[in-house]
Amino acid sequence: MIARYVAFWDQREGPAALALVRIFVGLAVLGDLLQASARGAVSAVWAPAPFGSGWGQVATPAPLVVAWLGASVHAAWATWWLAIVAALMLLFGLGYRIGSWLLVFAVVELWRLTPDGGDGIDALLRIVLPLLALSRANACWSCDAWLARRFGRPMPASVPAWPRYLLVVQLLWLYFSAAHHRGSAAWGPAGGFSAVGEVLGDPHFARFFPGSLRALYPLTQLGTALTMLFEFSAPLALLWIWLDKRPGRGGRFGDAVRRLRIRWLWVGLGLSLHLGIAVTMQIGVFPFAMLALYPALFGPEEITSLLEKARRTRIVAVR
Amino acid sequence: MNQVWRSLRAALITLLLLLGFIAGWPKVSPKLLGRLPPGLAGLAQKLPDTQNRLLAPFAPVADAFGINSENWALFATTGGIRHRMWVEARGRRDPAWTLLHRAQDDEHAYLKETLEYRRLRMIWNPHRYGMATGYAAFTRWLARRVLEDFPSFDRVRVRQERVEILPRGAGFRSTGAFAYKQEYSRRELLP
Repeated sequence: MIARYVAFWDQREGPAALALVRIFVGLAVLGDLLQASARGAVSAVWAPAPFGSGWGQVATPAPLVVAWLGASVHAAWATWWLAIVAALMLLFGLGYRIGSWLLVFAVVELWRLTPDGGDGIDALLRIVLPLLALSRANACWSCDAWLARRFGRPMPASVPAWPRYLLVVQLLWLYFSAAHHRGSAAWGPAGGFSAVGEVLGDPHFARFFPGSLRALYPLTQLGTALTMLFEFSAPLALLWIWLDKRPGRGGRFGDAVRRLRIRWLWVGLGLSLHLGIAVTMQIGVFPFAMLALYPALFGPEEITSLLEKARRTRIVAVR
Repeated sequence: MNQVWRSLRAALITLLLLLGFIAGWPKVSPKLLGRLPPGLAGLAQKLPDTQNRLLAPFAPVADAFGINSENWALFATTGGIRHRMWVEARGRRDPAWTLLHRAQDDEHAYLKETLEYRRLRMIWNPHRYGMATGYAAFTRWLARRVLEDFPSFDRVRVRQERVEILPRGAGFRSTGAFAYKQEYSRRELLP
């Protein structure tokens, strides 16, 4: 039993899924940081008072960047620049081991400068980035892999699968935890599934002027119900994945799950939920950073097969 | 890779999952606590203490990575009373305040792009436990910025209008009350 358990965490697989997560997470982090600069918010968020909203500079112990550079606007910008360079290294898989750990360091320091200058997605990234740093997500679609090939020492064709498994567990737990924390009646039938409609009425989060989408209220009720269904059923996604991976297992139930493509329906629901959030709410990078983890829900062989199909379709379309 | 390392790795992953599970024990609000049967309520009251004791030995490692919790209370409460930020300023001899910025108001959109960046919004948007610690530093920075951009103004105030979310997606209405007011003078910020 123990030997099988150890063997489970010792499994290896192709690097495609982790590489895609690396690329998408790199894009999300980079996009968010560049947006801070484009909106003129770098000092406003991370510099100490009175030049910004940072208050971590006076915390004990002080953030390392403050110990090294002092509590200043320069320290805020230096940490932001470090995060930008490290996010680029992560995105392109260049000097991956160093770049990914530098990014872990930079996001933690940014959080220490302004501990309340972030939301759930920053907390999630502080968990996800160390897992990615421990993985071999640079084994394909990366500068490291290209350089390794050029020097005649190609990266391994298979990499440890456990970082991907942990990413899946983390993602599913986040959804399930969000569902069971929703004590407000508005998320259930007793409150008329009014939660999403109410969020869209909040002047601080709504993208469109509150009340302007009143005609779509029944759709927001449907959105609320589907959100709860999606999040409460998140732990079952492990079962859907397991059944999909093992044709012939699970008897009639397993056959039905595979035939009805339940796993794909669940993933599609998550995708539409996050895209809906991106369209109707102003909450920044959250939906995109969540979706950046979705490739982990697929086996690398599924991803390469999907990409191959897409490539063939493109070739046919060009012809 | 040798067998000892494989076993050690599996043990470490198990520990990580176990700690994550403990860190994710749901927080029971006082409101919900009142609705639970006495036995269950007693257990729920003991949970946070037990959780803290079990996680304490690993807290330095979690803190090094900025990992505080595995509780994900995303939009846990909605509706009811929410807020709408107002930024106003006035000159030395001017009795009336000039509205410079108000959330969801395109006619008063001073610094809209900056203020609506999500990390800043997290600082100025009141959440269910009150206001972020950084709010005072934020309003100080904002007031200073206003006074630099508009030399004619002498005072700046930032406050949060209390609004009530209306049912059935009808938007919100003002309650006429304000909260979290911060006011600064030029002499105070730009001596």
